[in-house]
Amino acid sequence: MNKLSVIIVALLFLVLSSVIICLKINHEPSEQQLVEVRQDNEVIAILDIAEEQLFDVVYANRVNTIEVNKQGVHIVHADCPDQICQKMGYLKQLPITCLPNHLTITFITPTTTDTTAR
Amino acid sequence: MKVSKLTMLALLTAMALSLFVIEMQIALPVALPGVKLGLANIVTVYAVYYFNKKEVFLLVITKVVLGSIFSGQLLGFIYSLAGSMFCLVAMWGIKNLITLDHLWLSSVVGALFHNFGQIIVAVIVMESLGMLVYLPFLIIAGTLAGLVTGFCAQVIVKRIRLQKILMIEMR
Repeated sequence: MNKLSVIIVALLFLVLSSVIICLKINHEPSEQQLVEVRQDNEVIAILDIAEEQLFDVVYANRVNTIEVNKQGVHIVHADCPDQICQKMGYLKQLPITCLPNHLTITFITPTTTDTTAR
Repeated sequence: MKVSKLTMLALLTAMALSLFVIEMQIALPVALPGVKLGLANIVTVYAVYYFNKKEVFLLVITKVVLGSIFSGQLLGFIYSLAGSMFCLVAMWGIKNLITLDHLWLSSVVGALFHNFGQIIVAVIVMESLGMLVYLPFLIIAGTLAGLVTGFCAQVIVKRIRLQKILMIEMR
């Protein structure tokens, strides 16, 4: 019984800390203006959310179409079978990921890109 | 391997795959990579307690290979395989600590390790540590899914006496 309670307490701790982290991630205000599109550890594009556009990313003949509009950034079309990236909706603090097409879309802080651009 | 045992394993594999196919039709309210109910886990937890390592390993491998073919997502194969192996090793590890009366806890641990395995593969495949952001979300989802499948397995272990009959025959 003792070992059992240790496992339960450890699990509870793990879950509670996860809840706290999740809440923190979701509550952080997203004031960032720039969005980074990555594929296999390679930055393929940096999009400005003020600029409305459609952006195609190709991976092994499969296409993901990223749309930037007034509401934010989201994936409008995906050739992958699970369509999870599309269902994830608009980009918040949590990155949009398409596992089959090795694609991630995340907000980046403009300061870091500014310094590298200069 | 005795025919009765082989039949039992085949039956369990078929059940796991049926659950897997049913699960594909269930739309989850959360769209996050790696989040799923994992109904087939019911069969795995059950098998871990009633069969030896080699037999459970065979069951899980068959399930993963056939599951990938059925879902038509061979891309997901590596994620599925890593997740299942992590889950299996974790459940074997705690099998001695957690008795059959607390099967649900074993299921939760298994589900969590399934997610850990998947995230490790995601980090390697995507070549990005950014995937770790999903970890806390997956921990919560994994715990909930593990609880659901765990309680199902618990109920099944209590109710189904078929196993007992077969086990006597097998010995």
